[in-house]
Amino acid sequence: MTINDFPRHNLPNNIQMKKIEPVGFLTFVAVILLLLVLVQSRAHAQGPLDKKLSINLKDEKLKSALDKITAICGTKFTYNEQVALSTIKISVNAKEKSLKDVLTTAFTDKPLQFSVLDKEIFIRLAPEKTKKVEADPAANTTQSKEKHTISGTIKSQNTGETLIAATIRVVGTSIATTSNEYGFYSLTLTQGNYSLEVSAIGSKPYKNTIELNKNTNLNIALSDDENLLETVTITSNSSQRNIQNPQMGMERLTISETKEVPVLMGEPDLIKTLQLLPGVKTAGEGNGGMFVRGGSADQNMILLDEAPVYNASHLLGFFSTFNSDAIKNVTLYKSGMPAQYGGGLSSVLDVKMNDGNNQKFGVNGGVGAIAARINVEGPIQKEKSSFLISARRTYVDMFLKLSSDTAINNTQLYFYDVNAKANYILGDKDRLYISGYFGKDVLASDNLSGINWGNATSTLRWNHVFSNKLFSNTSVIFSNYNYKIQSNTDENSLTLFSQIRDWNFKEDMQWYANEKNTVSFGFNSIFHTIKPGEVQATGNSGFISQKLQNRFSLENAVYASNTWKASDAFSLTYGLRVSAFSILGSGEYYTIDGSGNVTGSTSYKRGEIVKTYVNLEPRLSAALQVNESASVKASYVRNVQNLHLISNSNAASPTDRWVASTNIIKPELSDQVSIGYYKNIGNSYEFTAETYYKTLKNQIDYRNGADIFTNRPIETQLLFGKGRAYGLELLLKKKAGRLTGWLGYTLSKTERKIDGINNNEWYNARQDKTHDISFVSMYKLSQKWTVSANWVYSTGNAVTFPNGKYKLLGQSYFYFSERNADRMPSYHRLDLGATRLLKQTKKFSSELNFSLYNAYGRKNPFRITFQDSESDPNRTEALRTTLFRFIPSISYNFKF
Amino acid sequence: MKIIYRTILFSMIAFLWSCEDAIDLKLKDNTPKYVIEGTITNEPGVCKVNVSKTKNFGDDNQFNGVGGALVKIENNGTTILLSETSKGVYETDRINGTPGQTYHLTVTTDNETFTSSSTMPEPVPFLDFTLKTADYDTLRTTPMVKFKDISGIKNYYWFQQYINDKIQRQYKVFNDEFTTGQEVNDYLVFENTTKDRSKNIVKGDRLTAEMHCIDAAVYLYMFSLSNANGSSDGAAPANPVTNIAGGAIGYFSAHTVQRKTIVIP
Repeated sequence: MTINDFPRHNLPNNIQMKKIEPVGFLTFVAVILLLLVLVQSRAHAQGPLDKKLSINLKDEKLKSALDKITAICGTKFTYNEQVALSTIKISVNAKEKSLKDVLTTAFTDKPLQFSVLDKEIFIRLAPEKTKKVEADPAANTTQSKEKHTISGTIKSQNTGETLIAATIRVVGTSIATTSNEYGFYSLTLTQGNYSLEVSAIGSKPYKNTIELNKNTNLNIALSDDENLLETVTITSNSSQRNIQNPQMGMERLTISETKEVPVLMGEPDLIKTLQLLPGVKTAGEGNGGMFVRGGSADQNMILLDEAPVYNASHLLGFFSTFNSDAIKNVTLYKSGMPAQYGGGLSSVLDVKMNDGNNQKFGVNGGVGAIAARINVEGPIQKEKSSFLISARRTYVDMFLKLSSDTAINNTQLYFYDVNAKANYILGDKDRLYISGYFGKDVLASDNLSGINWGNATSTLRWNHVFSNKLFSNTSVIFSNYNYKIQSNTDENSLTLFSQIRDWNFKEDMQWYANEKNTVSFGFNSIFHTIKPGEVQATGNSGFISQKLQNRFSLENAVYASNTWKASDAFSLTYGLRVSAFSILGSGEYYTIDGSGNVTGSTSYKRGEIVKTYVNLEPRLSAALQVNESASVKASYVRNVQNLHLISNSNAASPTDRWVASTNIIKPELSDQVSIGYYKNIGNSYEFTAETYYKTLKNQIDYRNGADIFTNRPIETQLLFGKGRAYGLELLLKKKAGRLTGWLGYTLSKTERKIDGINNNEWYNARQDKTHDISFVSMYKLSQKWTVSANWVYSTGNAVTFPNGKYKLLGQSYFYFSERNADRMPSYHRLDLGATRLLKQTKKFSSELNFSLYNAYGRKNPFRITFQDSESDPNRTEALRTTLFRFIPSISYNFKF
Repeated sequence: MKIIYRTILFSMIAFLWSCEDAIDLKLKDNTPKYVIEGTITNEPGVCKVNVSKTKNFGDDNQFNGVGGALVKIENNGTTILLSETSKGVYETDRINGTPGQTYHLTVTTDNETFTSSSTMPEPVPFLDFTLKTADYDTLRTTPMVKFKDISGIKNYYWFQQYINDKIQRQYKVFNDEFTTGQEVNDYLVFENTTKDRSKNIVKGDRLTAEMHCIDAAVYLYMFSLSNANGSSDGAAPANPVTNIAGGAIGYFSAHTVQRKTIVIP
């Protein structure tokens, strides 16, 4: 199905770009203006080079020559150690010449280049310049020489795992690239000798000198830092944020970072670690729901090896579905999502599984307070193919069985998940991966009433290197989420089953066109089948078995994006994603009046197109490096979401209902502009400040008095409106040394305006928290002990408290005036953790992990309810429920 | 069904970690709103309208009746004025509610007028009210109600619950969306939700189920009233959807009444 197949008459109404709202348009204009201003400011920043000076130098060593120039004209120079220690000597004799002329003369025939960085002059070594000069002394500098490409894969020496986002840098220059999500890199350079440095978090940096005189394939294996149990204190300066790349609003975590952070019941949890970053908030105590920049929980597109995961939590949100043993890398995009991603309004969480060690067989695992884990991996054929199987299961239910109370010992309460992956290297150019995830939760009481739900995903991928500049990945993805509720009694039984199932085909290409441009493009087609509900009843309840109509839809998208390195200081990514969502028959579709009554319906045949929504999603971002260690970035991004979670609760309830866009439910849209400042301070600190403004359209909420279990069209129970969110996020991170961690602060506002709620006025979204502070620290006390602490503080959730009461039916009831106008008490908590390395040899290592959740026992309310006082029935009281205080846990991890 | 799931969840959590305590919260005071609770039934002489105002959260729980209101009920061209029997309580025995008839309520007070109407449905027979030994527990007892839905029309049911003639907070509403024309067997929950053990359900206690056939608007009111305080997992509380026009909260219902009682053996 392509865009051409859509009925012509449908198109004009559906192109959403036509309805650019003033705010959206203005923000767009603002970004363009800002970019222009930045470019302008670059153009006018030529000041320092225009300064006039007189100087006479003869065979002066570079550093002292530069110092002398500074002494005369006041202009400062920025350079690295190599320049400072350089033995190059320069000579110049000038009278009232501009600094530009002076430097041009002085650097003639020397492997040196200069450029302006803010008010200073940046000096760097330029080996290619001398080569050029040697080869053709008469040549003009503009005449380019032959270019060659160096490409290959970066992987870990110990495990053979490909490394994501490793940095490949040409020493002494600003030329650098990073490996993609399959470890592939490609760098085009002018012929010459280069010194390359490759670095990645958790690995030792690698240095090599190459002579580039033809296209070269260079696969690089980095050796790990020696700590066997990934409890790594990061020492490489590669951990520093890439300040040149236009990508912003992105956080990348390695598993080692998540494992050190103390968490509830000692279960390392990726999503809970992400919640400690600015701009990411939690729904409530211990909750795994994630709210990114004012979005709701379903507006995160969560991908596990590219497969969407529709319910990323276990045990009603207390734990996330990701078993950290099986995870390689996690990337969260809060803004500026690359064009290859679509479908989620507020964020993309891209989780990549480990490939499996192709060097040697290994087992690791652990026993925690609630769950046990095991991970087995190894080569199938050494260096060619490998596998990984990782499993986890909770065992609390084993203890419930010991209880003498039949109600408790017949209770089932557990979850498990299994990750499996295999990959096969077919040659230098091809690699195949197959990966799968299966997870299930079971929650049932003694009479077999209960609920179970689970996700299953599987991905088949084929990496192909067409040329040293063109990388391709083709994926076929299957994804399934379902839940089943059962209610059994002696006389009757009732089962409710609901499911969402996707078949997904994806092609992504990366074309490293030249040293200035990197293009990515591709397409994606997803066929969704949603089974909204199937009820089976037996016995005397009177319930008639029902089947709501399945809903079918096809989601297509094409995208292209280019990252253009305009100069050493300025880069721009511009891209466009075009998504087309087609609702397909068979099925009945309805028209509904303002008060939710069905006014008509149309029946569509199998495969017939009910409606197609075409949306243009521009993706723009720019980075301007203001000096060697700081940059400013700006971005504008539009996202479209066509699968909606209809939920009236904040906790991730497995029974929340997924629906696709229909003729009435319009695609949700968001437009976000953001501006950020990034600074690397020394080798170990980085500082980030980002602001954003986001508008949301076609937001969905339940009507007052909505009935969730109904066989009427779901649209009759819904209301629609819009939202807005804005904020400031500050993050100071220390990534090297014995002490690592971060301090984050978020100031934000999140509001909704839904027709039919709160008198159609703006109101705070529940997850609106004005202030949010998180402090995370890990300290390596000795070889054996690592201690950690984190502290979080946030304004309480916006909630609705009663501001009146009345008697009805002989009981007290409460009156509510404004939606979410009140606040829960502010939330704060300290968690402590400690890791003791027990044994560490080449063959076997083990550690003990201790943690204490809510160490000072703050009574953070999970909920506040209102009722008649039991002690004085003539009064009403507010009752606070507190969940977790002083929760200690201990876990044991091993690896051999 | 969501109830089942919540019950399990919270019993788990309660069992494992939770604790509850009363706290002081500064709640905003309200601008008083009128509250109207009007019923007319097919039992002879039962027609009662309560008119009151909301109070602040910190006030006592006494009924805040509004006296001196003009309360009228009209049916088929006949208008009857209700008389105030105590402050805020207006009654008459001059109307006998009849199934199939529509009643119009008008309340006038302080230059404000509130109106509503409700149609009394035909009664659906209340077939049985039984308790199995296994379903009896001193804290939570779940007897069964049985009735046969009438097919072809939409029916709505409201079961009010009494222990020893004392009205309970719990009630249950049904519609026939999934059960049209069927014989329905379902549970009512009688529960001591307090920590006061003297309120436990003991031998000799009389459990009464009062079955009402109600119209769609009253069903929506009662359904939304049962969720009005929000749900424990974060749904925002909201005022129930009233069938009274003019800015008052509450409901007006014309319904049928059938009663059955069992005694705990």
